[in-house]
Amino acid sequence: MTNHWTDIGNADVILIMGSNAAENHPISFHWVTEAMEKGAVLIHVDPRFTRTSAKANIYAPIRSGTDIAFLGGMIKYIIEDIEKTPQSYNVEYLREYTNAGWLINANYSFSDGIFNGYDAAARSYKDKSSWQYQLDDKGIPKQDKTFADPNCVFQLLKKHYSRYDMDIVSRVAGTSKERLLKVYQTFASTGKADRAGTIMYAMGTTQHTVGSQNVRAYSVIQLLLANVGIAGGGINALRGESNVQGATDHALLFQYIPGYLPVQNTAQPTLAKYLEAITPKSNDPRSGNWKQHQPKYMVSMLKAWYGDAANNDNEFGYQYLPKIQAGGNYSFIALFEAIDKGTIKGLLAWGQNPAVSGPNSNAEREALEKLDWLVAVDLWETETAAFWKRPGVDPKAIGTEVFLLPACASYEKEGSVTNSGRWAQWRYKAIEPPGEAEDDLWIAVHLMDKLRALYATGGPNADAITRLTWDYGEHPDPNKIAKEINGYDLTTGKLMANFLTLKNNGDTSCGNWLFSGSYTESGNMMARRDPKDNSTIGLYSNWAWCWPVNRRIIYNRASVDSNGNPFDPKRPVVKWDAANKKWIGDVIDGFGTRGPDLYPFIMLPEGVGRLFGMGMADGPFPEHYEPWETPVKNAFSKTDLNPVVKIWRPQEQGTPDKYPYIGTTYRVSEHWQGGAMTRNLPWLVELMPGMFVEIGEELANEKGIMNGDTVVVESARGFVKGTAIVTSRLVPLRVNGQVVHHVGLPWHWGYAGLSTGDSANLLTSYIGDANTTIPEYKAFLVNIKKA
Amino acid sequence: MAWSAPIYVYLWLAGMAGGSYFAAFLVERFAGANNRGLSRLATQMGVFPALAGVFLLIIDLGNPTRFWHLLTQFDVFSAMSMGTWILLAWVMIAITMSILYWTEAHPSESTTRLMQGISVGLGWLELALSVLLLTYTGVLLATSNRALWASSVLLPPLFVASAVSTGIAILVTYVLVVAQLTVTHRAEYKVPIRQLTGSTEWLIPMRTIGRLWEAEAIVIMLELIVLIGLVTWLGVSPLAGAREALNELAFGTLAVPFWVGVVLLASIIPLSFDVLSPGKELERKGVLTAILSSSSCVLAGALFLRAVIVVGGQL
Amino acid sequence: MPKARLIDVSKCIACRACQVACKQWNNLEAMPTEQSGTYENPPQLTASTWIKVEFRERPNEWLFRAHTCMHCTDAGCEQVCPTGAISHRGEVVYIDQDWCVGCGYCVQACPFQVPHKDEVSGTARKCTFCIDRITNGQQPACVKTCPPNAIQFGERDDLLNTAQQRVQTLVMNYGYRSAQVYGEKELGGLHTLYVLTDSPAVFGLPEEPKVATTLVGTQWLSGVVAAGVIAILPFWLLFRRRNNQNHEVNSGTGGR
Ligand SMILES: Nc1nc2c(c(=O)[nH]1)N[C@H]1C(S)=C(S)[C@@H](COP(=O)(O)OP(=O)(O)OC[C@H]3O[C@@H](n4cnc5c(=O)[nH]c(N)nc54)[C@H](O)[C@@H]3O)O[C@H]1N2
Ligand SMILES: Nc1nc2c(c(=O)[nH]1)N[C@H]1C(S)=C(S)[C@@H](COP(=O)(O)OP(=O)(O)OC[C@H]3O[C@@H](n4cnc5c(=O)[nH]c(N)nc54)[C@H](O)[C@@H]3O)O[C@H]1N2
Ligand code: SF4
Ligand code: SF4
Ligand code: SF4
Ligand code: SF4
Ligand code: SF4
Ligand SMILES: [Mo]
Repeated sequence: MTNHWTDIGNADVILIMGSNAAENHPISFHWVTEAMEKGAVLIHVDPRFTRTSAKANIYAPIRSGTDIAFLGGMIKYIIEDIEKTPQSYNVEYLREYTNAGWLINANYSFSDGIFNGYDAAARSYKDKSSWQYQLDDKGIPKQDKTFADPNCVFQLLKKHYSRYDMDIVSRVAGTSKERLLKVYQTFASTGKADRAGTIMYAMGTTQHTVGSQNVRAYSVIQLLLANVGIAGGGINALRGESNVQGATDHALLFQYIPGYLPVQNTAQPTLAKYLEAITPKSNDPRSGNWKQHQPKYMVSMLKAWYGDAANNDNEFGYQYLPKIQAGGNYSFIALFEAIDKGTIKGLLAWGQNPAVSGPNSNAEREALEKLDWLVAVDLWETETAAFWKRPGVDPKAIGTEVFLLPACASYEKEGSVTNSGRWAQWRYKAIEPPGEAEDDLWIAVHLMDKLRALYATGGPNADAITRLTWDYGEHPDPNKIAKEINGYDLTTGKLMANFLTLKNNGDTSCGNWLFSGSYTESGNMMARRDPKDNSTIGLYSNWAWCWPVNRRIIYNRASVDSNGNPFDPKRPVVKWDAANKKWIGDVIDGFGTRGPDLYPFIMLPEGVGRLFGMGMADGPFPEHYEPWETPVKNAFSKTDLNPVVKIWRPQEQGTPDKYPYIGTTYRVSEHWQGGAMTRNLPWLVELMPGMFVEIGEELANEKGIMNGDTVVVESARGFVKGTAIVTSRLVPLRVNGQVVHHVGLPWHWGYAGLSTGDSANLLTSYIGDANTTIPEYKAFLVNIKKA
Repeated sequence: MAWSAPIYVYLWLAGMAGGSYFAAFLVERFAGANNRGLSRLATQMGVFPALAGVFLLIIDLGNPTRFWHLLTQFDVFSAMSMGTWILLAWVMIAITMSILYWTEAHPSESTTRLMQGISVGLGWLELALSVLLLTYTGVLLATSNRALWASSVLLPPLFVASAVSTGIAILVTYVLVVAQLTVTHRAEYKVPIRQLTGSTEWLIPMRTIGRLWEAEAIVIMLELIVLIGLVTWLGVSPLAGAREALNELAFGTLAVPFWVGVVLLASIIPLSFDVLSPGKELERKGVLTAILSSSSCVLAGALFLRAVIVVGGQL
Repeated sequence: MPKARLIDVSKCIACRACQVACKQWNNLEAMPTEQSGTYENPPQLTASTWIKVEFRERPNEWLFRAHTCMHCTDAGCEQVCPTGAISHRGEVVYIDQDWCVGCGYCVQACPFQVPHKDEVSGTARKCTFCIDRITNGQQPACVKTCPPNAIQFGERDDLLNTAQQRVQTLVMNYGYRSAQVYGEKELGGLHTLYVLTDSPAVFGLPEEPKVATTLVGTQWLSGVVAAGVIAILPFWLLFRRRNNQNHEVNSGTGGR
């Protein structure tokens, strides 16, 4: 989230798209409801009419996988409207804080769904050199603040989306034109400087082959509407697992190490090379270019890990770190393919249940059989832990040695949990864990203790393990870890106050620069519980602690004009006190003493928001492509599928003649994920006792399916059984003159626990987003029949 | 469903007890003392269904051992409370009267007059209680929030009528079945039922039986009128719930028991027997069979009626 | 000053947290249910389900209403209870579990199908208004847990105000022309109030709930009159003594 949960209450228009917030983030509706009580309008865009839609003022159905078409139409609408009535928009923001007026290399081009620089054989954009700014002789990007230059981003954007007119958008997304217009008009109304629009999104957005570009489309819109950095605005990812934000911050994803520092790879054999790669340059005096500080964070992290064993003479222990293959993909699907091939022989399934949650369950469950050993660390015996005795297999035929380590639930241990709004909140142990359960920290520490003992007698890169600072003792104290993450000034032994004074010379340690400031000499900031709000916009700055440096709304420099006065005086986030040369309000984004002349998007080397995004794998502008499995052809170009996604198992692609309907998977309030946590709780099983399949009345009629019938849904990968819920909430859509039906499936069931049922992931496939490889759980082809 | 078989069987039994007393006592009052045997029979016989009903009621309670809690309240608004007291009083009086019959059979100078006086007084009191008992079985349901029961004020009359017809049917059946074993074609049927401890046999005029059967037909007709009234009332009720309830009864899950059990068994068939019977005189061939068949239908139909209403109200 | 709950259906997201919170606080058992083609379960309130969210589908609408005891001022359940187990404790209509005999009469009498008989305890059970919480300065569990504050707890008068204002907003700004407050006057005033976006019937609530005993006198009378009619119609007509008959035992020889 750029903003935070409470801040949703400040919005004038709330666009929930690709999220079913009412069901999956019920507490968000505390704030959505609060905003609505003040008159906010709620829009929901979703293939299904859900409990969120039920609360929306405007509901727009959409074909799964066509958000870019939908949003491209909105971009076109906004651009034309800006040109027509600039006074209804915050043009100053657009001009000063985005790259709208910046000139792009004239060689940049786009045709028939492909950007320039594409290498079809490699399925990737090998040459992205022209996706860059034109630089002046000082090396500063050139600008045309009148937006007239045909190579300026505004013109390129306009040109790109000129193709996204109402007709084609409606034909592709299946949303009626008047509904589209209503959504566009309503959300564009937040373009005014004193109106705020927020976007809440989650997996309906990301779990597509174009997932990252879906999010990019939000960025483009929010920048055009000057909605980033302001109260009640932003692009707000509603995160999933209770501490997934914290987990991601601490390097859940393979491409990062803690604090979103890029993971070191084989192209960076030395620390110097690595640091060079992570130190972006900018010649623009107005750009803060915050990432130039990354070397300090890296070195401090290495100091936190290796202590005295990390010093100037040994590249601060850089060589202890494993390096990934440059350009390699180590994401979820890749790992399971590696298990399947026998490359990976052991698996720690630690608080994860891939036998239910991973895509293509048949493939994943079979892959597990090829492991030598599997350790499941969980609260329950999950489907993953029990894969060797799942229905239909012979346990005797499976050689995998399986261990199940009982773990404590969150209430049974102390530590921090970071929410979607980046607030790290300290929690205390409420009850003793049952039986032999231990907390994850204990398990991790003791596992490592054992490994250290084993490596003490040598082994590959043994120093990496034996030289670690690993002094946590028999009963590891989470406070000690939290302090280590916060970091120390090693010259004084004092805790760091924040990351501003971290050093690259080994004088400081810091486990994760983003969290520096969370546990200081004044105490555990995450444990703060002051419910008083000292702002007028609900920042609650003394409640818990929020990264970075307790800044509640990031990019907040973008909320003020060039004099430092809030664009929206009703909802001021920060304000520049020119007399005293300081900022008032929320913790200002970087460089506290630097006035409003500094570009606000300090994490980018150019300092302004990117309408044209150079960092993406699949192009600088979001372009509509069809899902891997789709009932129709791409109406925008001859490129049906995102040209850079990796296709793992081409032979498993289903076709519309056999599988004519769009399958889509989702969650319900009553269950949690793979289901171990909820399908074992009688109260929740009572609420939602079994696997179901939602279909519209028209499809049900066609297939002779009655509400409550058992149905079988089949894809090219497998089939599942469930009880039909026939509903008027799933409407057939007209797509390119063809009627398209969705078949909805919750993915919470499996063969273990109190309530069992088929897993929807038996249907899903090994295909993922071009940038993140998140699987395309939301759109695939199925057929359905009465059982 | 909070109320099921024990409750509707109970309502049926309570109606039967009260109904037979009601009928027999009126016959004795209107037709003369030569029918005294009938009313005495009804009094004694009624104790059994009444007690069986009480038993069912108690076992249907969630906490049978707390039955006595009911006796700590006298709540005129709660039909259940009133019913408890009425039933209790009814049974006590029936037992007292039975004992009095015994003392009459073993007269002793000093007591007889007094006893007779008391007996007559109690007889009237028991009649009043019978009326209340029959009414109560309807009021119990009618003072609820079940559309089928509470949308009209015709449930008590329906149950009263049905109870009286049931009461007559059980009396007639008993007399004929038991008496037939000993006598045929005599001016009087001897009812070989003995007083609880005495040895006197009561005599009941044969004519009374025929008349009772006629009376039964009329009561059934009245009952049918009330039923039609109830159905109409529900059908035209402004309350959607009432119309739905009727719908459920007449065309829904209960349609078969309603049409077959209630309409046919409790009304149409007994009335047909009445019409088709060669006469009302028991001596005539076939009449006996007609009466017995008709009465069995009435008994079964009344049970159906209560079952259908009790269940139907809770759907 | 009586307290009340206000359930605003326009804010309810049907997360059903109230349903679970109630079970948790009151230690109520889960019951086996079945997926039968709906999000709703258990099918109705039960002896161990004291609040339950109802789902209703209409084109472009999905209506939710948490159903629970109304704590009526004129409470039919209390009126019919033959043992006095049900009584008002302030605004709370409370079933004394030690005194209830489980006759099931309250089950039949409640206009909202709230109380149910529990098979295990043999008593009728329903929402207690979390009397143990509210008498100790806490909100009911269902209120406390509700994410969008769709259920509120407070002074009844204040809540009525809030409700009326909310209805105004719903009518004026959201086009819910039939939005209304439910429970202000019904049954002498309910202590579970609703803000509804449409008529009560749409939400499965009786438009004019009645106390079960409203017509108790008439019903008795009706039955007694019927008995009178029957006494006359067949009995008096058929059996009254003709003048010439005596009442000897064998006077009726030969029949007619
Ligand atoms: N109760 C509950 N809450 C949860 C979870 C849970 O399992 N249970 N899981 C947590 C986790 S880990 C996560 S990641 C979040 C996920 O939260 P959400 O993203 O809200 O979860 P989903 O239900 O998977 O998907 C959201 C919606 O996206 C819609 N959708 C599908 N395809 C498209 C599309 O192409 N475009 C658009 N606009 N919408 C589409 C679906 O119909 C669905 O309603 O929830 C978290 N919260
Ligand atoms: N078809 C389909 N598949 C999906 C998705 C979808 O939308 N559609 N969504 C995807 C998403 S967004 C996600 S996040 C993944 C989630 O995938 P998983 O993470 O595999 O799913 P969970 O069921 O949340 O597994 C978490 C496990 O952790 C255990 N656990 C809970 N607390 C603790 C603890 O404190 N310590 C330990 N050691 N264990 C604990 C739980 O019992 C549970 O078994 O699923 C993905 N799969
Ligand atoms: S899952 Fe937990 S954190 Fe999320 S809304 Fe429910 S109670 Fe709140
Ligand atoms: S907790 Fe609140 S929002 Fe959730 S179902 Fe209950 S009343 Fe509705
Ligand atoms: S809602 Fe029903 S149970 Fe609750 S007080 Fe009113 S009548 Fe009694
Ligand atoms: S079931 Fe219990 S509370 Fe209900 S009426 Fe009977 S005795 Fe009273
Ligand atoms: S007030 Fe208490 S008892 Fe009543 S429904 Fe709410 S949580 Fe349950
Ligand atoms: Mo997630």
